[in-house]
Amino acid sequence: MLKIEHLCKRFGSFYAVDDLNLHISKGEIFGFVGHNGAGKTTTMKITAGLITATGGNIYIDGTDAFKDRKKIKRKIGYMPDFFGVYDNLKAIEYMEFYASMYGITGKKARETCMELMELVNLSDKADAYVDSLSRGMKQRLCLARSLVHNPELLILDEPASGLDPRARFEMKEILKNLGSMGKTIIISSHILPELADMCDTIGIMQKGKLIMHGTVEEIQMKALHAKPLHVRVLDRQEDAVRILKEDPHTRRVSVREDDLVADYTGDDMDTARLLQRLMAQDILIESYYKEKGNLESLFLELTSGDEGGEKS
Amino acid sequence: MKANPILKKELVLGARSIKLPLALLFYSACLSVTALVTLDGMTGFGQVYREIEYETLTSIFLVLAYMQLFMICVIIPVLTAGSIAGERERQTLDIMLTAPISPLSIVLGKLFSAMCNIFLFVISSLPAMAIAFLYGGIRWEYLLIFMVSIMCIAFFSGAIGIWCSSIYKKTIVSVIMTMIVELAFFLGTILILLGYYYIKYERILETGGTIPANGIDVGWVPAILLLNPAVGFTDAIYTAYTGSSGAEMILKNSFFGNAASGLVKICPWWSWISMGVTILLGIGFVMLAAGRIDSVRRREKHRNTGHKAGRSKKQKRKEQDPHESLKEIQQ
Repeated sequence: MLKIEHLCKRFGSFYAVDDLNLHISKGEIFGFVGHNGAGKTTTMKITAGLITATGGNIYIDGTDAFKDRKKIKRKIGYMPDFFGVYDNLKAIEYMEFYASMYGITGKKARETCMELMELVNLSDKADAYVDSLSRGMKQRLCLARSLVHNPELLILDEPASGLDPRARFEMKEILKNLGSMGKTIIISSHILPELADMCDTIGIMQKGKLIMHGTVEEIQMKALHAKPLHVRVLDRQEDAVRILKEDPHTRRVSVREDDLVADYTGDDMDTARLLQRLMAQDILIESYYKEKGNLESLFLELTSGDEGGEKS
Repeated sequence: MKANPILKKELVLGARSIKLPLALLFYSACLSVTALVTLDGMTGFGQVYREIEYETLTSIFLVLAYMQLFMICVIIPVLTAGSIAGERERQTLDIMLTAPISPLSIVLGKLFSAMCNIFLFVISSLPAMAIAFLYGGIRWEYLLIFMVSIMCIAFFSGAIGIWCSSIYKKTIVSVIMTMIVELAFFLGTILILLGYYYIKYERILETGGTIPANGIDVGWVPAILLLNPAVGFTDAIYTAYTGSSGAEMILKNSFFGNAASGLVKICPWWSWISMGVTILLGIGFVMLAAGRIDSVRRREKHRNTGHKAGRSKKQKRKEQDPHESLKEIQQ
């Protein structure tokens, strides 16, 4: 459905998107995760045809997105991260206004808009002024608006940002529902676990690059292996840190209160050998345990370091 | 024919806003007060001297016409200069641009909604204008000519407003810039002409020549006044009033004397030519605004064609192959 090849976007010497390659199949829900400035929004805006790329290609359903922009516009539904509303328009009028931009008018527009408002649980708010709706309702209305022309690809830039837990849950349910209807969806978020619940595949972006891409199961497997190891020693803490650092499976060692915490990628056998080496050096170990790896810790580990994509 | 969705939306929003009725009230109040004060001044003169020249009473129409010209030139930047900038500030422009509606339709929708409002202002001025009809001497054609002229100027000024709105991100900056561009046409053209006349005048004096009795020959330079919609407006109203060309009156009575004789030949058609120029300029500003909104398409065109001027082969190669740029930066 969506094929991105060597996509680049440069602002002066800053690479917002740097040689991005991505393939999303029809009916897939793809989650884009990354810090602020990682390049998610830029990629989405380029895909939606709002900004130009410095290089690369995008194909949507086989159509070159840069050449046949008019055709692409009918295939895409876009919901920006920030959006405004018109104070004096009613929710149904807001929907009908956008429907008319796609050439849907009159009775058909009213029917389509009412169906979509029902889909996002806003049918009882059709005659309410948009300005009077809560943030969650506005987000849902904007989602319904992006569906008004029945697009094949939905690009949703942080659709759940700024929502309370209940509104987040409602939004998630609607997106799952859309996924079950066969829509291809790209959703961006700062929060990896949030996307893991509803996405089929996930891509993690940092400094304009896609640093990890795979199914949710694959990402979760990687997360399970990234377990921090906590070791508490009674003496010779400095020697213990040195031995931990020498282990090839250790990435980083830090001291938290009395614990030595190591980002450890080894399995149980490797851990046993490491402890054996510590004891062989007559270091007294009081206790040790492995943290349970999760998506949050994996995300933080992968995206640790400076934000942005400046190159010198 | 399907209605422009932007126009429809703008009209609905405008009709629901309290700003429009308040602006209409202010506009009509200003005109009514001006009409009554002018009338009182004229009839007051008659009370003192026991005579009234009824011909002078018809000038109420002129006062009100120029008053409206001034007010519309002030109002239209407020109506249009925030149109695109406002959508940008509200972050609704991006959503519009992802829909298959052309930037030209967006610009025209905005412009025509502003013109509809201006038309409403002009219609609302009719009761005040009717005061001029009380004493006779004013024909309905004058009103028609006035309305056509004012709508042309509204189109022109509105187009400038939307063009500025497409350039500047802040509404207030856009309003100020619109007024500056308007002034450039309304006053700037006159200043250029005066400047040119002054330079010629100085040169004649420097070379020891004498100023001709019928004025300095400035050739076709006063044709720059065709860019000034206010001169066209004056010509239209004056011609309707007196039957002789208003532009000719301006050229002959100003210190250009009879020297602009070449230009005098086109004076009978001045208002029509000026109106045509005004509309063409308006269309030009509309196209520029649409082009600015459609920056993606413009840049894409550059990307695909390698653009025409000022690009080296190296630059074109870089655009075709992003890795070329990457390599360069990495080095």
